[in-house]
Amino acid sequence: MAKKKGYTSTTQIEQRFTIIRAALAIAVSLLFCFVLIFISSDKPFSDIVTFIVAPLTSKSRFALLLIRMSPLLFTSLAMCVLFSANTANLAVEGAFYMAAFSSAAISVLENFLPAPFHFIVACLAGCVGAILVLLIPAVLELKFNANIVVCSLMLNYILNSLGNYLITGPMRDNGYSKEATKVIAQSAKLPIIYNVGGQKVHLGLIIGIVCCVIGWFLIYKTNFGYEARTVGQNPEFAKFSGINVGKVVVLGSIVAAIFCGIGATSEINGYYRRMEWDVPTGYGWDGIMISILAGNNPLLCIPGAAFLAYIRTSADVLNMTSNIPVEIVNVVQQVVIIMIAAKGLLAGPQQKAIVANAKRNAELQAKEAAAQGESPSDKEVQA
Amino acid sequence: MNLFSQLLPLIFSANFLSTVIRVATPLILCAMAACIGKQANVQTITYEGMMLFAALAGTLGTSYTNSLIGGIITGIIASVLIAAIYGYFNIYLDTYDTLLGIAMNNFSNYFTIFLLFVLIGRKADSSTVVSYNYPIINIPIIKDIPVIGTILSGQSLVTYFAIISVFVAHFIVYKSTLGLRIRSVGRSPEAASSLGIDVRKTKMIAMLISGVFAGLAGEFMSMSYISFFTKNMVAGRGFIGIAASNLALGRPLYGLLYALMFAVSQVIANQLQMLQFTYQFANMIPYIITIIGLCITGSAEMRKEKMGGKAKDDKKKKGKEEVKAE
Repeated sequence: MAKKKGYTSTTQIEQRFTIIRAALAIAVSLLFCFVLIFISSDKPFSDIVTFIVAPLTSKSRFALLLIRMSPLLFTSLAMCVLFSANTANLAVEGAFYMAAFSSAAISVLENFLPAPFHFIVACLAGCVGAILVLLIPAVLELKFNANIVVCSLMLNYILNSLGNYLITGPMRDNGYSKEATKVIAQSAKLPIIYNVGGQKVHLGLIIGIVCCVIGWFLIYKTNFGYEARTVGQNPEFAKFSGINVGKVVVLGSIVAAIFCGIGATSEINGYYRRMEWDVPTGYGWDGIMISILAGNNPLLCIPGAAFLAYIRTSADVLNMTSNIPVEIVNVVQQVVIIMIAAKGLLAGPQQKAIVANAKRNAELQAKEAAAQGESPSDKEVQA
Repeated sequence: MNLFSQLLPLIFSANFLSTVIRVATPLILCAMAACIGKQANVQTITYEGMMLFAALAGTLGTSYTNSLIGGIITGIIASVLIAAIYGYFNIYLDTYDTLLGIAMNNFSNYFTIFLLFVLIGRKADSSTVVSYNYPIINIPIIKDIPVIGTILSGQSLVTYFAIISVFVAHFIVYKSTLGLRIRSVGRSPEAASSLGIDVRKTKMIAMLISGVFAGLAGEFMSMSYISFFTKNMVAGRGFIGIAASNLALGRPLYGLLYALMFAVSQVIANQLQMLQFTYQFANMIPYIITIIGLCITGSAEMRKEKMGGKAKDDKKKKGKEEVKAE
């Protein structure tokens, strides 16, 4: 009866409210952003206009948007996989950072392998690095019941130090003025697909979009995805229905790590000349925001990442043309997360809508029953 | 081994203990905040954010109001405000705590930088602003006793607040009506609610009290530990405080012990840095210890859950002994 014409199911209403809440979150956070611009700027109106339209005003700015978007696709995808299995493994930040190191170790080798294979091997190295990182909190939680949130956050601090050690010590190119690795070998570089005004959009964007589609397939169309979502929605139920929760969590971490590995490698080998991240990039945190905005649906991560890249680019332009710090975007991002995560927001209207809908459905049902002449059940339903 | 023999004399000195107490101050205060939160079963990781806001508001508060008291009050208000926002979203709007916690922490991290830039035009620190610090207190008679004097006297005022806070937290949790309510709400919200306790309000009050403690911890960072605000200056101390309260199972007196333990690891890390040990590895030590601590409490809890009835408590005690042995 759920699929009958004229009826709206409760799930549909819930979905509708999820979208309304996401829209409301974006609206409120943008409003908040405008307030911040108003407070901090000496020419607020023109700055707000810049903020809204900046990335569309020139081709190179649009290219910059695309460049910023590609790493976000991977980290948000990784967070989608983890959050679907309800694993709050926040080490994605560290995993992305470490993957960049392990892949750079391969990427800098000259005359190592011919063009596509060098990149692929570098990707594999990146994946291994990311897997090692993401498995630590997952295993600690499974084996020792250690709080995964705090554990993974602590791990991020540790990896921050480790990365700093690697880039200032063993992996540093001493012949270069800044702290960075050797130059990435030409055979490991990703091709440029769109070059305008010095802003080179690399193949990583396409790889990211393809990965999002794969991720969507993985979460919504495979056995693993079904199990992960069941674990995510109700771990007790999953346990009783014979799903091996530990296996799902570990597999989920590995899948997420693979996306991190590919992402970090594409970002470094596509955009940079050398691996030069001396602190973690923050893409892991961005991934959290996007995956929440997308409701853990990898396909929706694409517009989500585009949205974040858009306001990032705007903030960059603002940073150059006015006195507003770039941090404004990070602040706004957190407001988005808080607003969307607030389940109680609009809970009243949602409940009302569900009740009203149930009543309407009952009436419809009664009318149909009356039309078919089954009068006995008719009165009961109406009551 | 050479490193070790160099380290030993540094550890067995009065200066070492005095440094431990100084470093432990924010950890103790944050552990007390986390203990009260834990007793009320509000699982927040936002202490980091509260501390950061308090650090900024405190140091700028002294410079704007031109008085120490003004700064202290603005700092605590800022921290309590963050606690209230967290409490409102978590308790009243039913927001998933992990996400909310991360978002609030990142929000504090970036918003403090934003505010710093808007207010004084710098992003990295507030060292250009003239601000007041907490005074150093020399206790009259104790300061003249050789070793104890070095350890106990001459600390910042906040450090003494921190020591008092342990007893205050203990009193609130175990000796006051409010504490009884907080504990009952934490253990069994249904039972508490059936006795007419407003569960949400009690949790909110616990959250606000935590905010005060975390505020003091944050102020210590920018008004005593160093004399100005630098971005992201809390650097995981909030999480270490949470780990200490987790290890202590929410009991303030034990929280003090674990906070001191973490402080010892941090000071050893600092000492190692001075002895030419790679500083990045030394920096990792407190975090690694935190993770180990979480594993120990986690597995102790798991064992506790597996045992039923009266055996539960015996096992818990055993678990504790093992923890100490390690």
